[in-house]
Amino acid sequence: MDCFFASAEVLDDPALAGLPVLVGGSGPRSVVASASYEARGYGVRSAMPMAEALRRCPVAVVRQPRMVRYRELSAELRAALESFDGVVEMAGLDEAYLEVRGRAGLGPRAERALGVAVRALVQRRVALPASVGLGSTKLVSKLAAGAAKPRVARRKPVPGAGVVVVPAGAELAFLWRHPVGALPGVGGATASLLRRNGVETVRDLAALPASVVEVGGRHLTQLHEMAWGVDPRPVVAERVAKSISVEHTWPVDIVAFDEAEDAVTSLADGLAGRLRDAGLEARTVQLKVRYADFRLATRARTLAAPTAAAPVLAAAGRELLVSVGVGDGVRLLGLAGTGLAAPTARQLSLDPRGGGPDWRAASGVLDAVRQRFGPGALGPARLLGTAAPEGRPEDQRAPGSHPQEGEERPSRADRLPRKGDHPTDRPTHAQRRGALGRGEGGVAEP
Amino acid sequence: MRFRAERDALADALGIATRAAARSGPSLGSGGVRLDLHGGDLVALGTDAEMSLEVSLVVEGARDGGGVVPGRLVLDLVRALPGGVVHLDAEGDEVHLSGGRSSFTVRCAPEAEFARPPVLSGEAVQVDAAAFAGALRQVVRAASTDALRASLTGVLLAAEPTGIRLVATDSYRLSLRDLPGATLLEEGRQVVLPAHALAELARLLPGPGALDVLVGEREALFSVGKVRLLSRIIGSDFPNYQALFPPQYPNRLVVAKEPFLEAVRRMRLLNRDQATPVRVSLHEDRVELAASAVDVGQGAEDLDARYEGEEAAMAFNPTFLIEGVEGVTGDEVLIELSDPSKAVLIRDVSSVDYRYILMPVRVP
Repeated sequence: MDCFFASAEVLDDPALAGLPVLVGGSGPRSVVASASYEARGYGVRSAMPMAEALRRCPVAVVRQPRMVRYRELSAELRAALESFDGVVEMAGLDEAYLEVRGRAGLGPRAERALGVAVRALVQRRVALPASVGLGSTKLVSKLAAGAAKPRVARRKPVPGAGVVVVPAGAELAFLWRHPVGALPGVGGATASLLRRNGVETVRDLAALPASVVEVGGRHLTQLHEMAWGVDPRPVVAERVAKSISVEHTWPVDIVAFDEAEDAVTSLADGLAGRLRDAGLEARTVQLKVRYADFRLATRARTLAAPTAAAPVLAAAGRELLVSVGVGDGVRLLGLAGTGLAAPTARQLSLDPRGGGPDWRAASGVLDAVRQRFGPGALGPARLLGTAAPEGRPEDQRAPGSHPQEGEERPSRADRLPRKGDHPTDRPTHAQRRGALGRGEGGVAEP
Repeated sequence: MRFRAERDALADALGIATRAAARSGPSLGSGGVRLDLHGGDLVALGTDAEMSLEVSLVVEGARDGGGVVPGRLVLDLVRALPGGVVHLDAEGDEVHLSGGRSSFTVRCAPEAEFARPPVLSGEAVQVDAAAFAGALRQVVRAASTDALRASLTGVLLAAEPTGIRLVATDSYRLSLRDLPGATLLEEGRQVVLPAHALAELARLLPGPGALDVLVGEREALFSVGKVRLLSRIIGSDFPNYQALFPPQYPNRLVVAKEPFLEAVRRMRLLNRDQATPVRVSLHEDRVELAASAVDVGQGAEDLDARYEGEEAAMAFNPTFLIEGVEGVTGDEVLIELSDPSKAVLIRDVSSVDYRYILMPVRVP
């Protein structure tokens, strides 16, 4: 999808059409989650700090992200693609792979017709602009889709090809035209490392002698193979999540330990909700702390039993927080559940009170109450009374879990870090507290 | 302090003392073992937050004295020296070790950091070491090892009218053993000792012989042969377990112990992720076992058995089930149950001295 979040805002508010639209938060540390092509004409890019974006494009219209709406549209996208005979893999909210069955050796003209049909159906069903790339591997089709997108020329948006077909046999020529940065797994650091060694394009990378590639280790070997068109990744309908995580960057560093504990409690509540939404339980809890000086600490703890209960996750998270501390201040906290599995056999307890509360049942009630009375109706007690409600973020179940456009998916533990990995457009600290605290206690009136 | 000792004897003594020292925190001398030599008597002492272990050994002493040595390292060195006579000489903050043609000098911990255990006085009571060790093995492993549930990491020792009772539970199962005739507590008294210390005691107790027990106000002292184990008393509070034993169960399964154990152990092989219970189906003349792990595989086995009661199917954590059955001393196991969602009782067919209550697993 082309600038998905921004296009969705235009869809729901047609008055925005043709205007530079930015989607993102408004806090001092917010970044641009999505920018319309008009805004890109001003030099705004995705993942750019919002302040910088507004400096470049002061006339931009800024909209808060509405993840719930984007997920709806994403579901439409999936439904549209699933009407074709093939396998659909969502690679984020706004990106998907479709492996079409029985179309091998179709010939470029028929392939092009297929691409046009896919694009037309998506644009009709989702009512948002889309670009389609066809290729023999995921890598090639992704880059082809990128090549089909609109671009900016002389500060003005220029429509793209819409559909780009890379015929069989032409993959390498197509790949080699790209800069190395276009390959997945090449972020800023890798790109500049390669550049210092004279590798600018995928062609340069492919030309590296085997002896050099070997020295570069596994990562370089993989990239080198990619440069030769090797991409064995299959299109799989449902990817098994390896971890589910939520994280949040605060507009102002957290320096007080108890405030960081509150933050972890709130993250645990969000993580638990996401786990239960996915029908999973986590065996291990991992805490991620980014300090004021950008130093990163992660600690993990394996639980006695897998859980999707916020209080258990929160207790483990706070325990991990004790082991790393808040240092001189914390800018980001993240909590991830790994070792995911569907709820399994549960050992019953001799204690009629269950040797502790029956969190599965309690969580079920919690979810039901929130479903009916809203996400703020019930929350962790320790967050009560800390509220400063000033507009609740929409997705209160998972504070800080709003992803960058195209990043809505369980993060894979082994995923290569990329630019734009910083989640963005999150509720501010006060909003987070407002979301769960509200200071009004108890269950809201129906 | 300077002495000569036979390598294996010294290694054994250090090995025992180090078992308490190995767990000690930095404030307790970091795994230090205190050695004291008086005449020809060497005493090695290790201590941690829950217990201390003291071993005495006859050596050929040359100079009396004492010091705190890094237990684990000195133990490893002594074990690795050539067999035969080992010389040890501790002076100031160094200890010299030599044997054969090798010699080592090791830095010692400051003595001040070593916490000396309290001295307990009173009249010790004798119990049969082998019987007590057997009871400990039946009970101790049902205690919780989860430090977050500190209240369940202990083992109850309670004076009963007919003897002494040991109980431990991790809230999923409970193991109880009555030792008739043993009286090591005043009437009506009960104490809770760390399971970790009692597990060490079970390891130390050799074959037949007597175990001297002295239960004080805050510590309990166990002496056997040349070894003395002093355990902290956690307290006297223990969950009310009596209510867990219903007066009677409507259903009774009798099965041969060893074949049943072996079958459950086979099913446990599928329990790769600690989430695969063993399913037990009870029929009049047989018991069927089955395990099925998603993405791993499944297994099944049936055994001859005698079952009186309603046909039923239950599921258990295989390790808990195995540990309960292992505690049975006879050739046949009696498993009594009421409702498939309620606890079962595992015991000997002919005795209630050992009773193991196990909660089932609820399968989704």
